[in-house]
Parts: sequence; structure tokens; C-alpha cells
Amino acid sequence: MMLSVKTAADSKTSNLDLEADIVIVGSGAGGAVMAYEMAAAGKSVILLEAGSHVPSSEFNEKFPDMLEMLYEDQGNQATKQGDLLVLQGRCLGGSTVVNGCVTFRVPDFILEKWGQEYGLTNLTPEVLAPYFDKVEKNLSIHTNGPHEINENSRKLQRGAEQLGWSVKPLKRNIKDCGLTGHCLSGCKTDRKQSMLVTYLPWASHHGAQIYTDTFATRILTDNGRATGVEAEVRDPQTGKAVARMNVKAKVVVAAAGAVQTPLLFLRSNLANSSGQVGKNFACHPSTMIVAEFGSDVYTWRGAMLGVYVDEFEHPAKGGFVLEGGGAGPIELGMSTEPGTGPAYLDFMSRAKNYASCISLIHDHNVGQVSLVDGKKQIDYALAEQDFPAMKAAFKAAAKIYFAAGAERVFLPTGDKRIIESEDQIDSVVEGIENNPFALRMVSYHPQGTMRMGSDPEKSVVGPYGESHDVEGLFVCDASLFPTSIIVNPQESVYALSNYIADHILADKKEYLS
Amino acid sequence: MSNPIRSELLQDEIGQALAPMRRRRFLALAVHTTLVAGAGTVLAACSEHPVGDVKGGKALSAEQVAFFTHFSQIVLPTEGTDMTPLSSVPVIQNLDHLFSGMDSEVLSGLGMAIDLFEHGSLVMGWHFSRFSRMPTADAITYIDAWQSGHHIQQGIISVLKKLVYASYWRDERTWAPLSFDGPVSEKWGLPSLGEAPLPERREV
Repeated sequence: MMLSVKTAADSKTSNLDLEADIVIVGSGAGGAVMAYEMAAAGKSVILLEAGSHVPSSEFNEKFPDMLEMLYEDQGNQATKQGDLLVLQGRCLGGSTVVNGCVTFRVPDFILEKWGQEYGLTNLTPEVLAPYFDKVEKNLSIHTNGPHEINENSRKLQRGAEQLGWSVKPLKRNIKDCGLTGHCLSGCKTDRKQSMLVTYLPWASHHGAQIYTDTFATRILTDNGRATGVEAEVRDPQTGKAVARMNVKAKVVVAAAGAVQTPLLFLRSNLANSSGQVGKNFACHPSTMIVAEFGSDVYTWRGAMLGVYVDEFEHPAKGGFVLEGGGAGPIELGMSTEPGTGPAYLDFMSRAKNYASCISLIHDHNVGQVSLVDGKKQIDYALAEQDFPAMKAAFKAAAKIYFAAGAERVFLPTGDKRIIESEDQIDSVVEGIENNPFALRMVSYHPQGTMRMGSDPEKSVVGPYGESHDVEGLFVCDASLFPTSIIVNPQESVYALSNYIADHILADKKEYLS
Repeated sequence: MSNPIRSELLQDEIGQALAPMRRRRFLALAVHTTLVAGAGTVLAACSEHPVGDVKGGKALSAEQVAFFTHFSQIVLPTEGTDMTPLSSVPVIQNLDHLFSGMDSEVLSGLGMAIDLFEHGSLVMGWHFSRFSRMPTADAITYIDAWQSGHHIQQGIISVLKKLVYASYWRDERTWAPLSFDGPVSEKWGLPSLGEAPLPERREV
């Protein structure tokens, strides 16, 4: 065992004063990679994680239990409007522990846009390629083999192929997948190469000190220079502070994710001369489209995510992807509105006949994360300009499923919308209006709230993740993305974090000297 | 005393009541006070209290327990189906557990949503029955009217249904009729692979 963690239960004093070269807030995709790269380079590292350390032996493959144990707000984190759940991990390893293992490099056309519109000309495919190569090797990222494509994904694959649309096996960070279908409940047998079993133990091996149950309250500065972090160690059961922590460091890195990182900056009342901290929230609002087949599918059996349809990935072609994603009874039971009482039970009685896919759209950065009376608030409503992509995704999914032989398709709407045949697709989908609660949306990919860019008036951090306003203060999570990236973001965060780590280690400003 | 429920009428009534809302905010207090305060007047005319001997839970009030008991019977009528009987699943206990993990603001919003739904029919003035006293057929029509009504109604009824569905399907006794396998790693004897070995140190 390489991983060594200090928890609230280990707190022996009410005040902790610590010192390190670098303090990192957050242990997900960004924080864990940063911690390892720094520690392996011989720097002293302290990593603070607000969630608890939950060993995989405690994962029980029951989704509701794991929502309560591993997710932010026990799985209830939602927008102010209440019609979009924002699911994020809140545990050691963050969302990498509870994601579906899907990995993508940032699409080249997105990097091109970042260069043209946000001055990120340093982030070219050529520059990032070796970083992607490295994390792909470290995390056993591979293209799904035939045994990792279950009947649920095969339905999507067959339908797309019938229509002549591009469909590909997904890539995943998993080693010898157990094919349990329980990815979102954490991987009980440690096959998912999450930060919990990779970069965090590796960082620990190189001497990084990891504190869980530790909530960063404020970033400390002196004369425009980051000097450390103030934090509270909290009892995970009661939420009450059991110790106060003060970490003095030469470099501060925020990697708490696109919701908590801007909140940390706002609480600290710093680095916001642009007024952009917390703005530009995007989240790939995701929906699940369900299709009924005459034969058994067992959508929950096998690898959870097998293939994806990328025919419409480029914004000029629609700006969405469809991923063959399985679901258990709870997710299926909430995915659509089949009717009340007997109609609902009739729908559920055919659960094994359903195939399901997930839509992801290239949404615009129209949301905001803010502090209201000291509490977090996420404002986001699907923009009118994004609604056509959502409807196009429904139509494409329905066409694919009918081409694969589906008997009917259930739309993820607030009211009852069932497509009984291919010729009904347009009329049923076009009847949906962009109102709150019109769609059943979940976000797994919050991003954009600490915009990266070359212009200090329009962005929070520069091209290497450093604050425009405060020296020695960096960000390395998905909040950096100046636009949404359409695809699952974890690999992009790994690579970007490694890239920023190399920049910090180059130490051109002599922070670490 | 009661007129037959006609969903289109109900939608019109609720739509009109919600029309003054201008802000897109879930469970806005304005809506709550307009409808529930109005309902209170009618409610006062009805002497029978629906709660009876029902006891509250850790987080659910006695009224909420009574509400969810009736609501779950309407939305999950398992009798005569292959599904696990509702009576053998601790839906109310599971709901109470779910509510006890929510923060006070969410709880308050849900409380308002329940009130609004429970008393919504009274304020329409044509049906002297709160939801918890409606016979099954009327209750289904009432729910479906909310489901296809104003977006606030849709939001409220969707949330209430989801809470009850989640509290039912989370119980493993409900899985066999769906052929859902549930946890499998231990059943299959899958060993843990543990921590990944240290990677080869590579500079980019």
C-alpha cells in the first residue's frame, strides 16, 4: 500500500501549522496529477481534500448508497432552478472515482478555437500530444475490445451503421474490466484507474502529504503573491470543524473542480479583476434516451459505456455525441415519463428490453457559480442557442434506434413523449419547448468557471493556469476550459494539469527557489 | 360534493394561478403563497383531518408521511402485478432517510412543493378534496394534469415521483421482477487489483 492519508479522526490538535513547497486544493483529476508530478520532482507537497477517504472495499455497488457516500451534496447538488443535477465526486480522488471511465483528448477543433478566440496559442495538439500519450500509458487507457461492448451498445452501433453514421468504440481508463456495469458507484475491485489507485498513491509514495476531511476556506496572499491556504478539518459525520489548519506554501494550486474552485476564490475575495470568477459555467447537460426492443438487452449488464456516435460531434454538424450508456432500475425509472400508476409499472416491467444512450452537447458557457449569503449557487438554464443541438440529438438517437429495430423510443422529457414509429420523430421532438423542467438533465462535466485566456480583462488565469492577478496562484481543473469540449473531460484535465505542473517546475519566476 | 376531474380544466386553472410568475425559479415563494394561502381558506371548510394517527419521521412531518403514503400507493400500484408489493418495501422510511440528508433550504422547498401539490386542487374551487383524500382515478388524473401542465407543476410532480421511485427501487427486493442483477463483484468472486504500480518516470 503506497497511499497514506490523514483524516479528521487523526487530528490530535485544534490548530495545525504546516509548510510545503506547494499546497494543492482538491484530489481529483487535476489535483492528483499535480501532486504526483511535484512530489516525484522532489518538491514537498500538501494536498487538501474536502471529502473523505473511502476505500474501495466500502463500495457496495448500490447506486443510492454510493450517491450518499461519494457524491457532492449526497448526489443532490442541483442548479438554483432545480431542473439539472450536477453530479460530482466528493471523496478522495474526486469525480475520477465515480465516473464512467470514458476518456477523450480535447478535440483539435476545440483547441483551435481556444487559440483563435482566447489567445491560448500555446495549447496546440502537437504540444499536448506527449502529455496525452503519457497519461494514457499511466492510466491503462485503451480502446474498448469486443468483450467491452455490451448488447446495449451494440444496439446503438448497429443502428448507426445501418444509417451509415460514424460510430466508434470508446476509450476507457480501466484495467481488465470486471464488466459489472457499476462504474458510477465506484469500482469495487479497483479496475477503474481512478486517482484513488493511481496518481494519489504514487504521490504519496514520493512523500506528498494527503489530508482528507479538510475544507479549504481561504487562499492567503501577501503583497499580490500567494502564500498559502487556510482550512478547516471537519468531522465528516457532523460537518463541524475539529481543527484549523494553516498551510504556508511557495505555490498554491486550486483543483477543486468547476464549482468549488471559483467558490474558494470568491470566499478569498481575490484574483477577480476580470469579474470572470464563477462566470462562464458550462456542463454538457446530459440526457438519457431509452428505446424498447422486442428482445432482451439488459442495459445494466457488461461494461457501462461501450461505443459512441461521433457523426455530429463538430459544431458545424450538430455539436453533440451519443454514448451507449447502461442504466440500473433507478436511473431507468427516472429517465422518462411513461405515465402514472399502472402505466409506469408497465413501463418498468419491460426494463430488460430497453437500450439506453447518453447525449452530450457542446453547450455555451451561459451559467454561473456564485456565493449567495455564504452559500453556493449554481445558475444554469439551457440556452436557446443550445436547444436545437439537444433536439437534434434526440432525433438522431431515435433514428438510430428505429434503424436497429426498436419498437418505440422514450424521450427524456418532463411530460410524456413516446415515439412509436420513425415517421413520428420530427413531430414529437419539435413539440418540446425550452422551458424549465422540460428535459430530464444531469451534468457530469461542470467546467469553465475560471476561464483560461491571454487577456486579463476577459479571463481569470493565463495560458499556463496562473492567475492574472496573484502570483504563484494556479488552477488546474476543468474550470480552466474557456469553452465546453463536447466530450468527457477527465483526460483533458490530466494532461493539462501535467502541462501546468511542468510549467511550475520550470520555475521561470523562481517561486520554488 | 366533487365534480369529475377534467385535466384540461385543472391545467387552465393552475396555469392562470401561476401566470403572474415572471422569474424562472423553482418553487418561488410567490407561487406558494398565492396557491397555498388560497387553499387554506377552503381547507378550513373541510373538518376531516387526513393525518389521523400517522406519526412523523426523523425529517418527514406526520402530514408529509400521510401524503407520501397516499402518493406512493397511487404512483406504484403493485397489487395484481409481478412487481414486489409496495407494502413490503419501506418506502416511507427510505424517504425519511433521504430527507434527513438534505440541507434546510432544499427541505423547505420540498415542503412547499408538497403543500402546493396537496392543496392545489382545493384552490381551484371545483373539487373539495385535497390530494390525500382523492380516490385513485381522480388522483391519477390530477397527477397527469400536473405532469402536462405549467413547467412549475411539471417540476414539482417530477420531483415527487422521483423521490418515491428512488425510495422504492433502491430496495433490493424490487430488483428480481426486473431481472436486475444488483451487486455482482462479490457474487462473481472478482478480486481487487489494488493500487497500480508506480509508473516509469517520464519527462515530456
